[in-house]
Amino acid sequence: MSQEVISGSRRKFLFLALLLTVALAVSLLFSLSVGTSLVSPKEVLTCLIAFECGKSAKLVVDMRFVRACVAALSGAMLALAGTLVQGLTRNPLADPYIIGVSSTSLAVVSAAVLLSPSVLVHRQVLIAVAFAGALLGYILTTTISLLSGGSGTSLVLSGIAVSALFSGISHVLLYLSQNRIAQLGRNYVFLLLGSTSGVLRQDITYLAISLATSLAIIFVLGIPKALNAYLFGELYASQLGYRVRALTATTALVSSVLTGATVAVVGVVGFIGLAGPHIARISAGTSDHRATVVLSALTGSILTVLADALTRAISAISSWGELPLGVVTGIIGAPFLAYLVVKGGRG
Amino acid sequence: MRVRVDGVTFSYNSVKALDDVTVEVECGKVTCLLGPNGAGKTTLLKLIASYIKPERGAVYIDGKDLKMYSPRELARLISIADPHLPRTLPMRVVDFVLTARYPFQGAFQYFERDNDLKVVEEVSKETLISHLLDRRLDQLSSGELQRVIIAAALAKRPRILLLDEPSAFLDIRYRFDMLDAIKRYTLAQRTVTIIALHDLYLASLYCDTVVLLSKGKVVSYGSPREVFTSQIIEEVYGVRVKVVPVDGEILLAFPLPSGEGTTIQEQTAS
Repeated sequence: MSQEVISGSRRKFLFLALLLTVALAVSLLFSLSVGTSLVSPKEVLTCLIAFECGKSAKLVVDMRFVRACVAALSGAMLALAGTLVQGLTRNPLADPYIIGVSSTSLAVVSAAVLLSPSVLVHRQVLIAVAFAGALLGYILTTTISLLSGGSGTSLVLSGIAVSALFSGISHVLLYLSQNRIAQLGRNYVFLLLGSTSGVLRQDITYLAISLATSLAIIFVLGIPKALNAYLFGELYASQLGYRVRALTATTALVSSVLTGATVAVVGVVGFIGLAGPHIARISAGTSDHRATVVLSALTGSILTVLADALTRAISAISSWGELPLGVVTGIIGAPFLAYLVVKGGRG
Repeated sequence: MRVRVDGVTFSYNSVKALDDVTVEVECGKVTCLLGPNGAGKTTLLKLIASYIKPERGAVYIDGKDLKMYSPRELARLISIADPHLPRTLPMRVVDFVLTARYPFQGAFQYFERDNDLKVVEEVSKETLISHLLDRRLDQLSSGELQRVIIAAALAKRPRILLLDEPSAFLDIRYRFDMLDAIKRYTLAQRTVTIIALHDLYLASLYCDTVVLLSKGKVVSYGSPREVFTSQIIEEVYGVRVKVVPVDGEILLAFPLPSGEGTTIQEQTAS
């Protein structure tokens, strides 16, 4: 019985991982061909693989390639951070946004931008600043939550308080520095609601390094298994030989790195950190982190790449210009999540 | 295998939960911790599981201080089952029971081996949960959940088995089934088994040794026959009891109500 159940879910996991990887590749291809000028997927493929393409197509594909990669990486990172935070709080409603990590990160970034707008161009500094902000947010939220009893509900409530306060602060700070940001050719709304329009080629490297480091830490330290044990209580995890304090600290640190890096590069993109883990969990049929860590990263990645492609498609056919990414992730992600919740609730 | 709790004192925020407790527990026997709420039963179990550290005194396993064992060694040796299981994120029964095998897996082993699955297979037969394995934990009844928790404790194949209220939420049939399974495992594997119980009747049926705790101190210690006298029980619980021997070995301890509103009172009044 246990053998069949486990080998069944192993097969399902491998199948889903494969399916999502293919879907990610297709979405990336789609994303490269969509925009103000349409490039056919076939042409995109020849450009990428054979390096044979027209000068204009190459330019377009090159530019979109950076955006699509950044979207894919930040989506994966946000969803991964969401999975970790939900495990850490044992709360399916938690995401990097709800526990206040993204808004403190953005607030610190905004403060840095106000003090010296050139920080937007110095990406290493920006990522370090955003990461510090994310960590500050986590410490603040958990402290308030501990002071109020340390339950899951109190964590979410204190997270909402922290995030309301700091998104207010960052709105004000960004509003104050909007002229300086505009001088650098940016729109401050894009930092608030996320966008890949201002990304630079080197951002791919920074995001890739942050993601790779986080994944290395997650897998080398065996965090997926440890979080599985931690879901059943601190006593349960500790009797399995896990050092609970070290586990929670490391997991919080990794999710702050992931969130901070994405906030620095694309701003605050909501919903991915919540939808990614949920979609992964519902499709895998369990919260086993060994599966959800991988599946949520892939799901988050696909959602963000598609949302980014959609922002460009909309700007191509309308006169509104580009919509912020964070708005679109909600619009395409929410119906899908709702469908899965309804379906999962019945099954 | 032998566990010795030696002069242990522990307090939560300056409220003493255990006060100079000394207990020695042998293997192959079921030892029961009894006592009213707040007597220190759970605290004692957590101390033996090394989840909390004693302020004074020490716990020894085979003559070696708990502090000298690594967390991994202890994780393989000791199982502690707590009836309160958080289950806010949906996990399946099989995922939960398999977590008990983690201490036996290598640091870089991502998935379980067949051997782990075999253990889970055996354990689910012993605890009658085979049909529940692919169900989600949040869809179980409280009685089913209790059996799953006991299954996870046994799935570690522990040398020291600590159970907190394993009979809570179970109906009368499963109480016997679960305690039978625990007793069988104790005898077969020669484990040190310590159970915190509330039910005096079950204690007299299944326990070889009884440790009666009250306000953090050991009040009485011995076989159920020795400990279960109406005088001791009444003193500790503050309730009148009638102890009735059955077949010379088993004791039935009937708590008698003292308050109003019981059917006995109403019947005698009418």
